[in-house]
Amino acid sequence: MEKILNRLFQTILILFIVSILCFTLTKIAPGDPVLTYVEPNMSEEYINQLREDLGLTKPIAIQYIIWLKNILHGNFGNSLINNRPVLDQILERLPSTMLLMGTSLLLSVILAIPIGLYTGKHKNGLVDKIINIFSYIGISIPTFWFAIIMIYLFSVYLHVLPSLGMRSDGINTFSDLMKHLIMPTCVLTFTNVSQFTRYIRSSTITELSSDYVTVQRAYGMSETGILYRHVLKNAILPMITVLGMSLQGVVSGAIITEQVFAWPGTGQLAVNAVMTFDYPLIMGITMFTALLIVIGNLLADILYVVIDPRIRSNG
Amino acid sequence: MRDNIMKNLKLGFKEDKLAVIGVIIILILTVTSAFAFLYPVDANAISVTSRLAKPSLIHPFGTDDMGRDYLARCLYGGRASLLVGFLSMILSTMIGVIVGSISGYMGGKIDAILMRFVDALMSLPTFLIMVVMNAYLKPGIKNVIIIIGLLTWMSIARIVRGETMSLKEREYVVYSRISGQSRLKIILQHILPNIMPTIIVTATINIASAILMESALSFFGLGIRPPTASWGSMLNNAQGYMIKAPYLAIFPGVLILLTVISFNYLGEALRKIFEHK
Amino acid sequence: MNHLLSVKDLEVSFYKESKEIRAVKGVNFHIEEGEIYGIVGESGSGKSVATKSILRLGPDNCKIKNGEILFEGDNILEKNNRELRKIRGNEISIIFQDSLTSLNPVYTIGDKLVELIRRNQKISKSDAKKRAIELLDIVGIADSKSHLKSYPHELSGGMRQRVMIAMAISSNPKIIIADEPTTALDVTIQKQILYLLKDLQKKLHTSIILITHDLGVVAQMCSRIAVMCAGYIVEEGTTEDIFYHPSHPYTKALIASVPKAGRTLERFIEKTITEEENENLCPFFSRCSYAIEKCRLALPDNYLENDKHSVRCYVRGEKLGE
Repeated sequence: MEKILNRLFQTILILFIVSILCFTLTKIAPGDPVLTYVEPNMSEEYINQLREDLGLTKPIAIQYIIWLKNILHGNFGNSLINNRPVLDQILERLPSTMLLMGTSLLLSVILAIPIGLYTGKHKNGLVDKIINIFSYIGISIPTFWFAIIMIYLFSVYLHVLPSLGMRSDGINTFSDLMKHLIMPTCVLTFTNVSQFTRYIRSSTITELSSDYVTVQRAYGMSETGILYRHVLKNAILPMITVLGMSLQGVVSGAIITEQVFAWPGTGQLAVNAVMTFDYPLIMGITMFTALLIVIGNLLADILYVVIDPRIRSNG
Repeated sequence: MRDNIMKNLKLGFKEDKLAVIGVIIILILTVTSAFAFLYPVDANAISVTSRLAKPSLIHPFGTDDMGRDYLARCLYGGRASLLVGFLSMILSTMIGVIVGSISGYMGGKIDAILMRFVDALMSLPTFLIMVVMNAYLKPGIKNVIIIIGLLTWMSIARIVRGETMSLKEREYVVYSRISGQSRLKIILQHILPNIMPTIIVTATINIASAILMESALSFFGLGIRPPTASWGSMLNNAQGYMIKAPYLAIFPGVLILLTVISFNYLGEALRKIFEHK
Repeated sequence: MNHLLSVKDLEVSFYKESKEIRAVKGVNFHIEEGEIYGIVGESGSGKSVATKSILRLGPDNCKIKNGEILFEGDNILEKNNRELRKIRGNEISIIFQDSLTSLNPVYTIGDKLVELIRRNQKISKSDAKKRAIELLDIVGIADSKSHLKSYPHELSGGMRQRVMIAMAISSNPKIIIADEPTTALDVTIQKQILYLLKDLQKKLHTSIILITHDLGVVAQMCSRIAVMCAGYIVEEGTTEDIFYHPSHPYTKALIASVPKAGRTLERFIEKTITEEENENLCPFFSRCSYAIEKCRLALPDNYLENDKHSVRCYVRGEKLGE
């Protein structure tokens, strides 16, 4: 319990640092934010008045506190481009991103566990060697290149899958959505599954060489029994932490994937915001994503503490 | 001890033929892109008559939409990617080692603060920050190196911190501390040499990820921008000619994949060799 | 004459990076019903590998190259996996040194015992639970019922070792192999565990193969003792023979180094034997102060001091003089 409280305190500290980093990033961005509100016929005094109203003349620390207070109230500011609340835009795009990331993560874990267990059990076998090559390709392939190769192959050349977007114009069916989902998911999953497989493979190997496995063998348990009843649980427990840690990378992958496939998610929104110099939107997305990653990590840690008896009783 | 490491390296590479291939690929790519100027074709020479020419004897990799020789562009692109990879690795390793060893050696409050800072940076969507910074700073290879270096040192810092913490308790380190050696000297003399293998492994893998990030940034039209050739921006350009000239997308992509996979494999091979000691 | 278990010409090798490392180089011994047989030797002498081979428990890179392991007349080495599993844990069970790593950390003591009991006997879960409690009582764990819900790391080393013993006796095995069962424990706990083992052995009339590097332990427990050195049994005999009439210089050195309580053998190793050195000569040659030229040339045969006492040494017995 103490451990979880400690971890909560750490999380708050991390979020505080993240907020300072984000705020600094806004401040060092080029351009005068007031200019976005300026219209050609405004007088010099009016502009200065506006600057004051926006709080831009206050000391930097005060500005930070105001900004933080707003964020804590869910007010991420308004977009410079279309003047809509940043949070609304993020929340509007979030489901698409969650659909993509969620499907991919789920698929990655489902695939990685059996593959990792199998290759760990039969290490240096033919299958292991083939999988190993694929996992090296998976962690080394540039996501965007893999994406355009897929598009070329399945959309341009074979014409079997739609290349862009989330839905075809005017069609609102589940199967259409799934069709659009296939390629982005594959691209994102390939990298993740390669990474996860490597973790599970190596922890399977470690677990298999541990004493308790020899003991189980000595007490007549079958090899499959050992693998599924004993090794599996120990080998996939660390996956919870790995999942938490990999969130940052998954987000990066999702940004690239969304951009290439024109997937209407937060990642695409972020890149568009950067291209149009829409600072409030950029900062909002950065802060929001950081928040999700921190919370994801926290949940992973708590879950681990709850599940792993060793940590549970030490806490 | 150094001889021992060399012997292990030799033995390790003898066993792991793929690692040797990786080293050869890296060497070939480094040498060819370093001496790209020896290839007698101007990478920026535009030719209207030979646009989108298929690979041939004159243009082994074909030409792009502006009639520029694609092999020459690939060579110069490799120069940019490898340069970014190596230099940002050096930057991130330096920051990582400094922060990690201070954090691990000093412990206490300094450690707690530094590590929370690392945690915070690790929870930021790094790639998004890179995109933001690249968009706002002046484009160019220097800024790409600095940005990638500044945003990828955290994993090294964590690893170095962990190893420093365990080495700190070793008897010879405790002895030097009691005998009044300065902290800096202890870190430099007793701790860093011992974690060198781990640093080398992580740094090698960091080159791979730096090259991946650079290519992704350049692909987005940030990072290294035309006319300077880079594999990422070439791929961005190639997207528009997928039907007429798919090879434009093949060559730079395969080159990135080969480079990154070689560094990743080399890193893992080194890890195995060092662990075998 | 049929022994309960007899090991004949056992040779076991490890393979590391296509290099062969011979761990056990032709070992013969047998176990009678209801006896405690001790195997002593320094770490790396092959004692643990030899006994693990009885249940074919070596790691993946380990291979039994030669020999026979006859259990009640059948060769264990020729059995298929299913037949082997029937022997493992059922007829022959094993206790390891490190009880913390020997128990899967994510399952409770109860999970393990119940699982084990139900694998060997087809009984209901609640019956198995009753039997588990009974077993924990037998091995002297107080408050056995609530300890079913404990995880390994929540118990002390001595209690974990008692759990291991409970697992070992759960199916009334004919042989229990105890591989350094007390090495990881405090001296006082060591005594309790050894006493428990001896007590159970008498009650259940099982045989025990006790592997240790601690001569003090075998002296208290065993009826017969084998001394292993670099993959060979260099001397074998009754406890009296070994302790009062040691014949091999190695055994003598072991005994001389022991009596001060708690001292382990590792201390007197002066020089490790390299592979080339001990291929075809006496395994103790490099450290033996009685060695003669003959010892360098060929491995000594087994000489019988009496019908139960054999020794592999040219310069054996009384000739050694003290």
